[in-house]
Amino acid sequence: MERETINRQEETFNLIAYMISSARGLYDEPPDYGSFRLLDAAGRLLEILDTSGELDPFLIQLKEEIDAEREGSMDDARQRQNLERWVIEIAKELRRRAEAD
Amino acid sequence: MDTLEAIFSRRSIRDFTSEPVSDETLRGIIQAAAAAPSGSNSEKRIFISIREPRRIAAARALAPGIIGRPAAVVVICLDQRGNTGEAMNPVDPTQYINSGAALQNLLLAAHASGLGACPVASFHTQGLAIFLGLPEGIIPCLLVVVGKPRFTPAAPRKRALDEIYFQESYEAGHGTRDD
Repeated sequence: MERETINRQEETFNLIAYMISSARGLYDEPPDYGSFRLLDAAGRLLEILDTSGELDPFLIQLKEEIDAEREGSMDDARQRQNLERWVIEIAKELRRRAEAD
Repeated sequence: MDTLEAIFSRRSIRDFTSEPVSDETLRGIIQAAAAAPSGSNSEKRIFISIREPRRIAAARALAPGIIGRPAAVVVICLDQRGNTGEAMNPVDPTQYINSGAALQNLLLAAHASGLGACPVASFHTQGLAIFLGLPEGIIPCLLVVVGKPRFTPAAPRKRALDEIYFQESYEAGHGTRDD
């Protein structure tokens, strides 16, 4: 089995474990953490896809912005603004892809 | 199926088979939704159906409340075009009452047609509006997932009628009048 395949499978398993751990942990953590955990999960999934060269230009840009948010200082207002902006951009991209079909 | 039978046997369905819903059936269900009352018979509602699987998948991406994979998604929208004053107020309850009435008709009509349905309130309003190409003034209010139920859930627990039904006044309690 090639190294990249092993890493991808392992990282995918780790991501699932992270999401389930987070889901459980949130019962005992501040509710605000939920949004960041989801964002972090998206960032981790993008990392997995990146290692196998599966990111298109839209997702490459999104990954850069999400990484900056994940790695920056915690700022709820900024995070919320970024999330709002990303949802709008994603909606436009979904529409563009639907119309291209 | 008579009306009361439909009301009491309806369940919220989130788990569907892969069987599609025909345009004719969906049209009939939406026609029932449109027959619901609305304040001043304003009918300020727009319905948008999504049946194409890839577009449903995209809608799911913007609506975390869509848990399963329905055969169709109906978007009940407020139509605020031409409104002025209080009617433009996004929290004007009349608009939501109108949508709620349409929702219930839709749920019952789906059930009477042998389908299952469930309302979904968790979605990104602006994102969905962009995806659907909605003009200004038409605002997604509620989603309804529709499809052939994979199974029929047991009846949910409901509060006893005496807990929630009072006659003449709340203070009067549950006693009946001496008519």
